[in-house]
Amino acid sequence: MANVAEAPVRPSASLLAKFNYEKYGLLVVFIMMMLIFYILQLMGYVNNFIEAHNLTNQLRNASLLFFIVAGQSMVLLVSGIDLSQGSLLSLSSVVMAQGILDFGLAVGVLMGIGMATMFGFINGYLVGRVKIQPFIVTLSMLFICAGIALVFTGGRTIHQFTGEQKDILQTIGLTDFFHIPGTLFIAIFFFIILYLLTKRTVLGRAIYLTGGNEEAARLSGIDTGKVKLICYLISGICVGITSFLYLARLPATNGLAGFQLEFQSLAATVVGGTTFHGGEGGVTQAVIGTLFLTFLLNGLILLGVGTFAREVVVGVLLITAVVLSSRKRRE
Amino acid sequence: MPESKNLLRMMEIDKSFPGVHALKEVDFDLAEGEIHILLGENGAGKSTLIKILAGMYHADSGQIEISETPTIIPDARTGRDLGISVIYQELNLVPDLSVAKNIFLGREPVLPGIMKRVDWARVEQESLAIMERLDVKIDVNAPVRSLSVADQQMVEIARALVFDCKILVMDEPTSSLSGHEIEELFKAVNRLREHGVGIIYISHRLEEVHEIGDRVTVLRDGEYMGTWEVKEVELDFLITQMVGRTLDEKFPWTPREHGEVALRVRGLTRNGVFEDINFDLHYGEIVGLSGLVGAGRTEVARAVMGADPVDSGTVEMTRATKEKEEIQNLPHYPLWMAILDVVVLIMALPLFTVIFQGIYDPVTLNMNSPPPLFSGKWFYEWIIGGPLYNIPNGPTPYIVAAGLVVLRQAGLWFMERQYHWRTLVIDFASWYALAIGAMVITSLFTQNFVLEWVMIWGGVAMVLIRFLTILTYERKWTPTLAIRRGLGLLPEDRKTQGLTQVLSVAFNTTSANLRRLIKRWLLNLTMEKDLVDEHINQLKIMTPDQETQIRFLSGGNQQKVVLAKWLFRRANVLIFDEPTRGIDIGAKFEVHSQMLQLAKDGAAVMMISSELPEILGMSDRILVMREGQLTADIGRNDATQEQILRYAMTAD
Repeated sequence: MANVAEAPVRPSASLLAKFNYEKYGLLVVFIMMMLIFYILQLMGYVNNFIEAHNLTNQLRNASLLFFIVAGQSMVLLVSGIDLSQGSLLSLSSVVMAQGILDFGLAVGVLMGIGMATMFGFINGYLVGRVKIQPFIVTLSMLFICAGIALVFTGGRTIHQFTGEQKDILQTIGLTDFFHIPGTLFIAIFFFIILYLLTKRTVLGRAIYLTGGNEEAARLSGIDTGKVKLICYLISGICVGITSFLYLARLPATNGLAGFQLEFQSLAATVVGGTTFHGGEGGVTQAVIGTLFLTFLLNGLILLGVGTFAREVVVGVLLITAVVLSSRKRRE
Repeated sequence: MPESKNLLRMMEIDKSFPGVHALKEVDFDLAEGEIHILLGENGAGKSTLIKILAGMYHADSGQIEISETPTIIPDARTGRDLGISVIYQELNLVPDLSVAKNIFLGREPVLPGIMKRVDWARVEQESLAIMERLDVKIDVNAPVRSLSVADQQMVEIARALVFDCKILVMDEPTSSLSGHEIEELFKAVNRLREHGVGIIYISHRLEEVHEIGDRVTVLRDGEYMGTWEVKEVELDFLITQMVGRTLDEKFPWTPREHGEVALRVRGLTRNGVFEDINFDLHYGEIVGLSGLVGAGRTEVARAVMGADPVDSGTVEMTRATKEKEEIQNLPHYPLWMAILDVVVLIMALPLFTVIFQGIYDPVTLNMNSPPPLFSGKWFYEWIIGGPLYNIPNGPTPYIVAAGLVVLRQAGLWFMERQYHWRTLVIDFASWYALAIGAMVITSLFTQNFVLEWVMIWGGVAMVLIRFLTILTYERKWTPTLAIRRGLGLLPEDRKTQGLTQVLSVAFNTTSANLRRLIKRWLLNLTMEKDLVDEHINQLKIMTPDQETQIRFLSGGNQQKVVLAKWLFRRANVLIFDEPTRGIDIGAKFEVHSQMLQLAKDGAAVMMISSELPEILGMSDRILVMREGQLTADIGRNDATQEQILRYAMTAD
């Protein structure tokens, strides 16, 4: 460009200065964390962290978590919040399990995913069209879904699938290819779709514009209510797919299957770098956040840190992430 | 009032802001029991003067004397303690607290004791006493929320009295009151005057000057024009004192040919804000919309854009057919239609099953107990096929059905056609052809018509839904529709309404016309980069690169990005709301040149501005608004500053 006012880039600018901390800073932290755990392993404090079996299991966990983190990211991008994910996962998985028992595999899975989609739509409709605070809507939906799921199962676990059904489910949920879990491929496929959706479609741009400044987006001709609705709908679909994958991994479920999962997904999303202000972050950040949280928790478990102490670590991590992102904003 | 004591004297007050000399050695004085009216057009320095008096700003030089003693007012609290109260246009009351509590807010009398409990009984008694003194009937225990605006104003005045106020400043107190309420207010103000309170009264209604004022001071462009006894001056004289800002700025105006009507606004009304707005905008024309701040200009612009709801009136845009590509930019496949198509596909699946594989097995003709409608079993058999109809499961019908839908969409896509009523007819016809065909075929073999009835009523519902969607879609005037017709608004507050600060220049530039970037289903980012570069060069936007976030750009460059957004949209009716506020001279000239270039290229331009020289310099025609009404439509050659101001400030 001829009219740039800036001075030309100094040739002495080092590689370090050019590095995009905003985008890849967390990746560096992630690699450093893995290295630290590896060193601890070499020193004998941690057992079996960098080891094929453990890595496979953690990648499987991460790929399951990724779906709801991706859904949560979409909602946070339009400056909303989806608190209903965990209990919606419970509901959709028990409906799915009961559906499989009553009507067969295909119909059951469709019913479960359909249920999650429907509740995602209701969330989206209430936020986008009726214009209620997302926090209120999804909090209410948390209670509604958790309640229905528990009433529906009566507190029992559903596991009475036929041998054939179990085989099919576990083939989907537990097959590994050379130690790489099959679910990872599903997650990667889903990631590619969501990546294209957010970066290369009109809808994706509309999501960023709506989250960044709703009024400006509206005055640019974007139906912001519709965009929000779609984001919550996507979150619902993500929950549906996750509940299917959970069920495929362990062919049994109960009304508490997704208990408090929304907090995990929120933590991973925020740690990844998607902010509550909306318009910043994305699916890539969701991947990094998911990996980071999964391996951190896993490493801490192997290090012998107790459940409650781990929660303290997650809390500290969250505050650090928010402080860093708000400092970035203030610059 | 020569016999009364001098209450306030401000001498040679001087104040500069970066880039603006807001007050140039202004004198002002106020006597006890006097109503002194402060006049001036937008940006003349009235509010700066008031804020200095209230202690919110500090004068660069000059002196303030209160009751003949030199005083310094370092902050708002000191101002209040000195007996200075300001009632702003936006009232500062807590809506859910009672009138009495509002009056004593922050100064509640306390009972003796360590607890410092509030003496609510005294609050109520004294509130009643003040209301009596003002001679107004307001229930002091009612919440402020339940009062009319006029009564709320009385509460504000009562609140000022509790401060033992000697100088009361009222900033446009009558702007939202009706005739009767104004009388009540004037009565109360006169009573205050009798009690010896000095009142500084800012108003845009010139007729009020003679009604209530004792003296009047005029400011123009930060300069002190003089103080007169109200009885001695005519309104016309005051107007000539107010106008006369220098016209040394250069405007790149040239005469142009005007085309046909581009935008027709008829009877646009929003209750309490603007009323019965009528105007036409022609292609190739620049129309200036003038008026005082608060006259409803921005609100009209937003209503025309469809951003705010209106109570009545129409906005009509005669569609420009001048550019062929404009039609291509219309959405050819809206999202709701995609969702409906998926639903159609699902509903059509069993039908295709019947058509392509579907002679029933004679063995299952015995259908004594079909599953109940919408039960799980019914659903299963309907979607997947099963023992009821004994339809063999197989991929063929699904592939064919999906293929048909994909083909239809592909066809629509490559034709780049928008969704048209003809599509509706085709949908309708094909649906019924399929449904009736299926019915005929199946009726040869079975007496059960459940599926077919579902198909037919499903089809009716589907078509109705589409029809309703299209109707409501067309009827509601939203920014989406306005932009599709070629309208663009450069909002007054570009930081919060025109741009997304945290996103890049490129994102913001293309935000109003993303469909232009679509190539084979996805956004073409290379094309985006080229087009944005083109606009950056054309408008000379100063930015390191197009990935830079908007918040790092200066005001003038931000405004250029908003303009680039609409150029990218190829909007041909543009509304500029205060386009040059807060931007430097160079960028200003740039914006004016672009505006003119747009008009030369045949766009219709409307410019809202508070600066009379800008209005006079750029417009072909000038509309003036006063208190929510259009009061004048003046041609360029007939317009003068005095005339515009007269229309903006006085009732005919």
